[in-house]
Amino acid sequence: MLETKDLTKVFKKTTAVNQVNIYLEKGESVGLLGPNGAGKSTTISMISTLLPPTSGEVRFNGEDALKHSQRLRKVMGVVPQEIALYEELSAYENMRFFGKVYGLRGKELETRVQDVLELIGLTDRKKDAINTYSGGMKRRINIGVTLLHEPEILIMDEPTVGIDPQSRNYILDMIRTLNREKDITVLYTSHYMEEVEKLCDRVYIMDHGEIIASGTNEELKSILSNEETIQIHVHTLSPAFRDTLSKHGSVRKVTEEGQGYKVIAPKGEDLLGEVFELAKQTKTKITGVAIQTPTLEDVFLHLTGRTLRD
Amino acid sequence: MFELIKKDSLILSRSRSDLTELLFMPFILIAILGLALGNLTMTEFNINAFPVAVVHEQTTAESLNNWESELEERGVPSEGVRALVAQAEDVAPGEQVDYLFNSEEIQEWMTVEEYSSAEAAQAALDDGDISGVIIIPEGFNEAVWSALFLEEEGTHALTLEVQNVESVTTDILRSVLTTYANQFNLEASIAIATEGEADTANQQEESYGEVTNLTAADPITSFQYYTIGMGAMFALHTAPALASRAFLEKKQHVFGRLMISGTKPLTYLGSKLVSGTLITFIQLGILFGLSTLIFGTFRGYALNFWIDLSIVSFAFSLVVGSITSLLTSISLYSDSNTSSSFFGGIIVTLFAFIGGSFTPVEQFSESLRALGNWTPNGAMMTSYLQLMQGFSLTEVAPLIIRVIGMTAVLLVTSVVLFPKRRLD
Ligand SMILES: Nc1ncnc2c1ncn2[C@@H]1O[C@H](COP(=O)(O)OP(=O)(O)OP(=O)(O)O)[C@@H](O)[C@H]1O
Ligand SMILES: [Mg+2]
Repeated sequence: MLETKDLTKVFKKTTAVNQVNIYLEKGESVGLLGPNGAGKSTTISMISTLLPPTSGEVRFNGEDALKHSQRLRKVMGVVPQEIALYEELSAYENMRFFGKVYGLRGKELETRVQDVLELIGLTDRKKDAINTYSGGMKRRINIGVTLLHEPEILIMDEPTVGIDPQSRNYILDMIRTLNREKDITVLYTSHYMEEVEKLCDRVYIMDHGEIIASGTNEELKSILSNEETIQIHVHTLSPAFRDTLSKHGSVRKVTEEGQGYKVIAPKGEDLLGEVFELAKQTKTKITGVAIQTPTLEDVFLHLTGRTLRD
Repeated sequence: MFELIKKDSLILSRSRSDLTELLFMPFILIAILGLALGNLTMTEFNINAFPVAVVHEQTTAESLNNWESELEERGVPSEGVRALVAQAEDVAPGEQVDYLFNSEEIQEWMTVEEYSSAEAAQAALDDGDISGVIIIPEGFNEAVWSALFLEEEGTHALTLEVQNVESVTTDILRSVLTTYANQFNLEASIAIATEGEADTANQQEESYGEVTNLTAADPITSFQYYTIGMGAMFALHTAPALASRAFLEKKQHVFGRLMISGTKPLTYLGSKLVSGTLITFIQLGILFGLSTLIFGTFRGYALNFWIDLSIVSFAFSLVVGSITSLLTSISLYSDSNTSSSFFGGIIVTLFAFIGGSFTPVEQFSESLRALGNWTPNGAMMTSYLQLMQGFSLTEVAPLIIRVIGMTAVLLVTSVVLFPKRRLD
């Protein structure tokens, strides 16, 4: 339904987005995962027809979306990364304003506004100016305004950034409901892998402007199917231990994580015994060991050697 | 489009700072300037009186002595000397400054303290104890007398030093001194200094060759003059106020949201033109109306005058609207709000001066008046003043056409500059 072909954006010197190919099928929920500066927002600006690409194109139902931008804009809702609202006005006033801009009028407008306020749980506070809202409430109204015209495609740029877990769950549940029950197609951008893992059928992983991996959660994790992750907790961090670990022939990668190390190694190698041996040699006291199933975070780590929030 | 305009007005009406700048400030200035120059007394008004210092570097008696000996040296016969000195005793310009500043009308706005020396006053200014210092230098009285009684050319300068050049108190002080200079037919130079350093860029030579007489038929009252002057000046402030909001819309991605909703870029730009025009028109209406209600500024004028006044005001509102749209284009194009702050901070003040918002510019020179008429506010002020003196609308039409021409040029430029591709 909506796809990009070799989408590229170059700002003066930086190539923010490089030859990106992604697609969305109707009713799908797709994640775009990447660290800060990966090029997620730039990609979204181009998909939502606000930013002309340097090269490549965005296609909607097989047509050039930029040439026929009105067709896409009508059925699309875009939640920007920023709180894109009039902070001096109340939630109700903002809703009525944007509703009217979308061509809603009279009774229909009023019903939509009330419905959405209900959905985002802000009916009680609708008369208050946005600048008196909490971060979580601002995020909710930021999404709410986008839902007024009942979009078929919902594109969201880090809609939960910087808020408490409770508000975040509220928002995630809401999006899931919209996707499952109203069959709204969702493109969800985030640098929280848990969110994407929970919410999305398919995921694109982006780094330095490029898509470095894509597929369903399971497909992506199967990249790591031949590998396992060993989480080693130690009493005190020891660089010497880390060093010897990473020099070990069958260890792929060692990263420090919390009070310990995360080791990625091929499956089947009986590494554990050797880990304890190495600990002994470097006089490191191990307080716990766990073998984990991989997460998307591990996939990203595997692909780039960095964690998502480095 | 209608929604966009309604939203602009709503947001502006919620902003205390904008309302203060666009309505309260000009109104207060009309009140102050009108009072300082007229003889109305107003008791309802309440702003905190600010302290200023007056420094006489020489007493009147010393001046008289000096002048007497100067006259004698020049060989004026002793009878003449006596007569001139007697005349001079009646008019002591330095004391007139005290008299002016101690008058009831002025005392409502400022309290005056005498300082014995310029240094002491300067120190108090630096400490922030006072808002301004007026220095009457040695030789000032003598120079004024020579000008008055001997019709000699000469320079006699009063010095005004202030804490903050851009403050309202400075505007008030400046206008009070200008009035004073006007009374005396003086050539006065008012030097303005910030934090003790003379700011030469702000130094003005103001010559008052003649007492302004704007009209033969209908004299224009100070309230009328300043209602128009402040209206013209503060109407210009509406443009950057709105354009700054447009920049904020872009920065906070509300603009992107509007574009996704299918709003056309040019509709958006058009909404800024209409908002700017409408809000300015309402602003002028409120200022003129309030000024008439409270000070009786335009009381007694016929309906026809009000219609003409509205037409001129509308033409002027249009030009402010087009400035709004130009500033919007520039800030969206350059992705910065500098243009609006520059316009609001510097251009408006400059235009206000050459347009004659503070004092009639024809006093300085005819060419300045001509130049002033090329500023939108100056052209408007001249039109208003002419209307008040009984000119007909057709007689002021050339100026109105000029203003509409400016509107057209500004609009075309803003459309050309408006970024039509990058919308996020
Ligand atoms: N208008 C612009 N001009 C120049 N460079 C830009 C512009 N917008 C983005 N960039 C650059 O493009 C790159 C990608 O930025 P983008 O905002 O798309 O990243 P992101 O993945 O959304 O990051 P974040 O998680 O921080 O939101 C960055 O290096 C950024 O500095
Ligand atoms: Mg981003």
